[in-house]
Amino acid sequence: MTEGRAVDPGQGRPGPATIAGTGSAPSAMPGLARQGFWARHPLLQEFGCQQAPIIAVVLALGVAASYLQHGFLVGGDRPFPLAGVVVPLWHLLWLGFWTGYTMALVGEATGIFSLPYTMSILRFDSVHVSPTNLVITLINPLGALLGYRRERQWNLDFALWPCLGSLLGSQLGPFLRVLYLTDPRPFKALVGAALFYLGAHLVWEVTPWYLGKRAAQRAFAERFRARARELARQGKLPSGIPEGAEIRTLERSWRRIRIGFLDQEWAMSVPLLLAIGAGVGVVASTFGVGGGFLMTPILVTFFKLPMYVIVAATIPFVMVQSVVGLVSYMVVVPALTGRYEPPEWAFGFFVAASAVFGAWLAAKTQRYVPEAYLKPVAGVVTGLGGLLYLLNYFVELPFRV
Amino acid sequence: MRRFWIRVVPLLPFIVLAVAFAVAVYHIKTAW
Repeated sequence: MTEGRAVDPGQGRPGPATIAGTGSAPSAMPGLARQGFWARHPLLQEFGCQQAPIIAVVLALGVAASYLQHGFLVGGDRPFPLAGVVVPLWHLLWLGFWTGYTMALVGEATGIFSLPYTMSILRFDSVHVSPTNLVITLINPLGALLGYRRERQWNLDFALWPCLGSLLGSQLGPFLRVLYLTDPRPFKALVGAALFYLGAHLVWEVTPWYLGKRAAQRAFAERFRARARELARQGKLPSGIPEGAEIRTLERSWRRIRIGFLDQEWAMSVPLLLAIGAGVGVVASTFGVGGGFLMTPILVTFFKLPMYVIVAATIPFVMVQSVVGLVSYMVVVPALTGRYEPPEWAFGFFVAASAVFGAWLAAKTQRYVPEAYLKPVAGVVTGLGGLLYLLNYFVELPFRV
Repeated sequence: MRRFWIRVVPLLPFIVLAVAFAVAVYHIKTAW
């Protein structure tokens, strides 16, 4: 949440069709005409070639999971068997889109928004909601991950340690959820505390005090924006990243890892990265969220990393901790406690499919969105939701949350 | 057309939030 905005993963060097089409005269040959069309519409090309296949596959998985798990297509008049609620299919797709879009714009992921909406508006607040939300947090960053890898915004030496930490932490979280937090009221209170923290942080991020303290990171981000503007003036897709730049490993051992990007370097303690991964993994898998909302500010505070470098670790972390959490809910917890709480797979897949589209749209439009207005709005909505959950634990509210 | 998009895109997240609120109210009224 440094600057509140992830660097657009999809933007970058022109793809093969763009290169082939650039400067070519209109041709009667259909193949070349097609290349010309893609060259004129690089956004459509990017969506059609990179994002649409992911979305189509996830939607197909949703249909398949629905029939395999329940024997019918969910989202009609019949309630979801595990969730026990009736939710039309369009509402699931809308939920994924709006949470994916707005949260990506403020530098977050879908999970922490879709969880309270699912619990309080859709009334799906049994234990199954946590693994179901993990399905969403597993798939949501997929489009971004492929983009980051292609653009070399990627460093497995750095991502490895938080991910290894989550192997332990995300195993434990589901035990806490299944054994001690089955009652929605205390569970919502804990989620409320996280939401209140997140909301307060979003509002805090646009205050002059925060912006002053983060001057170094702002300068780093401004260099990207300046380069992006320059590329846009040249008629290229603006990535803001110099050609060939990558997050390099300068030193690695069991004690310390040192990484570098452009002319900056950061040294980090490996045991601390492991501990952060384990700690965030416990909280995230208990809730059934990705954990980025905690991991990002922790990495900013401890290591003063810029957002561009942080996502190289948080995106793989969110996906790994989601997988580990799901395995724990489905295999480890039932094996050791006899309590089997599987996800509503189809629910998760349908929400995740449109969340991928929402996140992509956010990456493409965030340069035009007034961050100074959006963050307080999103922060107040999130913070108020969290406050209601907290209040609901201590006093009887006149309405159900 | 380009100017239209430049004016609409900054408003899009607020429009999306407003529609999300409306859909939530609709769901509460019809499904609860």
